[in-house]
Amino acid sequence: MLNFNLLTVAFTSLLGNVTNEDIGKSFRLMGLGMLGIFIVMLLIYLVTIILNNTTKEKNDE
Amino acid sequence: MSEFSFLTDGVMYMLANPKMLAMWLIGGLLIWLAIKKDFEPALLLPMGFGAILVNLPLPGVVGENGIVQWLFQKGIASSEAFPLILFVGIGAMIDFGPLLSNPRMLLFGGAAQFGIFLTVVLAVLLGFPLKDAMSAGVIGAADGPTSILVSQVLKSGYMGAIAVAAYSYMALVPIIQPAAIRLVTTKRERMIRMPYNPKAVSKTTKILFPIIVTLVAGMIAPDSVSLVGFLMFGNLIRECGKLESLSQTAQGPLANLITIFLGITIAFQMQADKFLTVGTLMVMALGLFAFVFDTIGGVVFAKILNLFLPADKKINPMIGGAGISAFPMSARVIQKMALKEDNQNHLLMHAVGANVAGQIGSVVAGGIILSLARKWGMM
Repeated sequence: MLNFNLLTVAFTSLLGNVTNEDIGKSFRLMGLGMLGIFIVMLLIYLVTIILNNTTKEKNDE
Repeated sequence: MSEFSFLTDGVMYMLANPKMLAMWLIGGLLIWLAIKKDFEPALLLPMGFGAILVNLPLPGVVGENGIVQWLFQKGIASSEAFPLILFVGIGAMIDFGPLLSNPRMLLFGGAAQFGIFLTVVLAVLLGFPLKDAMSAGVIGAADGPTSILVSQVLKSGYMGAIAVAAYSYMALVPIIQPAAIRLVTTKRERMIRMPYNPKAVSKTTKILFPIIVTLVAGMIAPDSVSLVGFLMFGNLIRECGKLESLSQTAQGPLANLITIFLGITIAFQMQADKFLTVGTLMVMALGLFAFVFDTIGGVVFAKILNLFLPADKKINPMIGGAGISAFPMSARVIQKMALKEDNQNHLLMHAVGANVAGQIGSVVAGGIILSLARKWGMM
């Protein structure tokens, strides 16, 4: 677990109620969230390419 | 004489609760924005009227037997039914054709969600509890139903402010996006031309696409299934070619009916004591931040891709900014900006592709946030 004490102290002086745990989770959310979105989008991208290629001969339009 | 006091009870109550009067003004402002400025009138007008309705003295539409409270409990709180059913209508409205013929645009639908997560960090640093920070971040997706759903599932106390912000900023796309894009692009970059050579898309692909997207989202971000599933269900009705009448109903009467009730139901969260807080103002500001950085995220991602692309394959970075969910406004804004820089540069179809990818990206982002919130024991 990374230590965000410096951020905690800096922002507590502004508005208060900043916890080390929440800061850590928010950064983890950013990393995991963007990773998750790109994985989903890449998978959909690959599936779309496969679909476009496999259904080319049976093109209805 | 005291029997006549029932005529003045309401007035006395209002005088004792000036915050409710302030909410009348806010309701009036939303109605004015809807009618005079054409800011998402279908949502802001019902919300504005609802804000007045729920801030009248004594229990009327709120309270145990109040209709607005009942609509909120049944339509949003217990199952998130209203935003989800609205997604069926939205799905039926979307033509994924421009995206399917140019699927690399999907990446921009992912990159342009960056502002959501950056905003969560900022909100936490400003002292918001994580669940409220997550809810505020989703405003950046410019996706009203997803914002409402995430804030409801996470039980955020700022749902009213989040809904107002999400729909207001959606209406402000033509003002916010050009400013954000100009901030991080040069004139030369904005003038990059992108020839449009669409590949034909088979009907089979159009039918399988919504099913496969639902399966992929369901496997990786299970909490996005309700959002993605209902969006894709609406799209399947549209694309199957056998349910034209249902497709028209989903796009028109169904979406309209839900829109009418969604706006007035959200107003339940606009009762003065809940709404008039410093937190509401901060949520509105965070929403704007999220919206700007979603746009910047998409643009910067395009610029990074350009570092690896040959000169004749460069992407106009403005296309990245269209990877948000505000459809089709964002695509139109990009087209307008491109034509302003070079009157022969037509980017509309590329931007439409990125824009519909943003529809998928925003619901996936909402689902991922909910999945992580569940994992961390927040719901």
